[in-house]
Amino acid sequence: MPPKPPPDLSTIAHAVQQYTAISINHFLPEVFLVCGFLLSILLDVATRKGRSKRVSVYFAVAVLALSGAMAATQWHTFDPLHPKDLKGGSPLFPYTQSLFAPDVHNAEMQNGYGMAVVDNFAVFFKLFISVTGILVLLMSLVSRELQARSSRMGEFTSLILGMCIGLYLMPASMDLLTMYVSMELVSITGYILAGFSKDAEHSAEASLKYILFGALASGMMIYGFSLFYGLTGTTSIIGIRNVLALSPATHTGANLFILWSATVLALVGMGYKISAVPFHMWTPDVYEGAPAPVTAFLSVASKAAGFGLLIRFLLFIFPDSRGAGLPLLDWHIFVAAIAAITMTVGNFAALLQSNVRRMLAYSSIAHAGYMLAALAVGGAPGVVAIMVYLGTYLFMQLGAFYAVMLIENKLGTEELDDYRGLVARAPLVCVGLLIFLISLTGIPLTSGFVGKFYLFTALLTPDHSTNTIPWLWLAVVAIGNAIISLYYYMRVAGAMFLKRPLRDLALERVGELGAIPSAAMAFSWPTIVLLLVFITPVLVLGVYFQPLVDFASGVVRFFSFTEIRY
Amino acid sequence: MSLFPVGLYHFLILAAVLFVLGLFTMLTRKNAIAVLMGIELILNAANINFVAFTRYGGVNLGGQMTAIFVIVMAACEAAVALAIVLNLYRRSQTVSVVDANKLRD
Repeated sequence: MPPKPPPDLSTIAHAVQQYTAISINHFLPEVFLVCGFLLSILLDVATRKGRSKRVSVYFAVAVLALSGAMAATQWHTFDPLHPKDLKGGSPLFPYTQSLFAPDVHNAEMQNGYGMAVVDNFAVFFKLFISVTGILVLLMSLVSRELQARSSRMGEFTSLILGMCIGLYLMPASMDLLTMYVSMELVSITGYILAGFSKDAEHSAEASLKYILFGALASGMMIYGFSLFYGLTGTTSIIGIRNVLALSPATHTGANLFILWSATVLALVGMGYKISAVPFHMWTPDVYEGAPAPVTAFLSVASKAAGFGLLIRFLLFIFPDSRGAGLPLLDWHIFVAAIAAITMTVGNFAALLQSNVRRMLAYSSIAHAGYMLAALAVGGAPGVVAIMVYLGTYLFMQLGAFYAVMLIENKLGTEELDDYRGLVARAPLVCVGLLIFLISLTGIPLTSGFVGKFYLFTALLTPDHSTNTIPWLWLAVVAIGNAIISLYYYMRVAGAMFLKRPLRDLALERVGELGAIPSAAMAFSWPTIVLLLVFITPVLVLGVYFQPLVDFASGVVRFFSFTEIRY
Repeated sequence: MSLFPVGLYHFLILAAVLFVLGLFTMLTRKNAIAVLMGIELILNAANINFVAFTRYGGVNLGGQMTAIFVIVMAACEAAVALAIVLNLYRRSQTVSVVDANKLRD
């Protein structure tokens, strides 16, 4: 049979024009964000030094709010009675709009599903990132470290906006190329942000460590991607999935070894982004050295987008390899092992810390471990658990970093010993930090409990075909870890509320900041309002969490885990 | 028919050797600039893979396109990394990754 002649060049050009014209309508949030990013650079040049630099922060907040609102309009509500209302999409993934590529129905070029997609999963993360970005920008207004460099605030906000473009694209990417480029966009802006206070030695060191580890991880990931491409002949996630499912030769014999290597190498890059052990070494140093708002942003937004990417990658390339009995990789056990190690290492290392910010860094590693455990479960329950966990994690983690930053603003230190007896001097901030710490532990009536509850529900899902609970051991490890974490969170609370201040330690700092060690700390009212903005969702979501759960299950419904056919 | 036909496997082995060399460089060198050179080796190993797979038995140009993107990203990363190393040198007069280790447990 003679090979089919390649399509005419003008036909291809016409098709590309068409796809771009269709796609750009669905790409508006990102386009808007890019315009905002460029304008914020111009704005930085236009505004004069000093207080007017605050304008750039307000501008960035407005850009993020508007692009978040645009993303919200892309949300598809599910109507099972009218399945014909499909806007784009395909039988495989209804309610999904693929961007910048031929539709899967197009038999001529049926090897892909576009560079990126718009589905509820992506919309969830876009909203998540917009909210995080806005809160972090507001945090930056009261950060002593950043306000001391207020002439460079425009630079800061444009970098945050640039990072948001990458974060928007990460969970939406449907192609190895988009995954790599969006991850690099996030990483490179992250390296610069980590070293933002470049005149401080600790910041310079933090950014150096971040870029060396990050470059190594992303290099290994792209090498893994190249193996995927060699194995399947395509960089599209759906293309890879189809090839793996349809041709057994790609995952038997020597090819199985290549497939495993490629997957592990790819997971190195993604594991670095979510700071999973053993790719976590940068986390404590960067979190300690970077300015507090940057730390908060990295630990929430960048981690969430990393999970979005990881879910896309694993669940779309290797769909439900347990349930469907496909002869694909059993990555679940591999991820479960990483999850168990991550949460254990994170929690035990957090026990040993004397610096509160460093302790929070290790605790964020532990939280990544909990979410990885939910990922190991896979399927709809696992993904819902991750989404709910992320939704609760957002406010408590940002809030904890915010409270630590407020104390650091006045005290000039983050050492646990300096927190002794702090409640007498800053009662409201201490109560706020206590609430965040309780929530991070996962005690009921706070949002952290809801996250943990859905996590354990997912882990304890019984397998009806064998009448066992496959992830019982992981659930036991997670519960043990949650109990360990109680100790180090409550150690901070104990220092603040129960211990007497160490006189000599506090006196040492008087000269540095000119503060009287026993005087009450005065906080401006916007500072307190922002603290309440963090506290309220932590408490409200602890009791009234149904909207968040509905939101998360609204996402997962469109993954159509059970309806995947070949 | 050439005396020594170069096929896909030659390129793959070359890429694998480059990858291992890059990894080795990154893990053993103490000079930050040398570590950055290791990164370039790793990225170019991936590039050789992509281009070779496209040349021998590729159905589309996806691999070569990816390689171009990787080259651009490597340039961005190198620019930022060198700026960070330069900044570190100004602060502490060292480009050694061992000396720049004040943040630790």
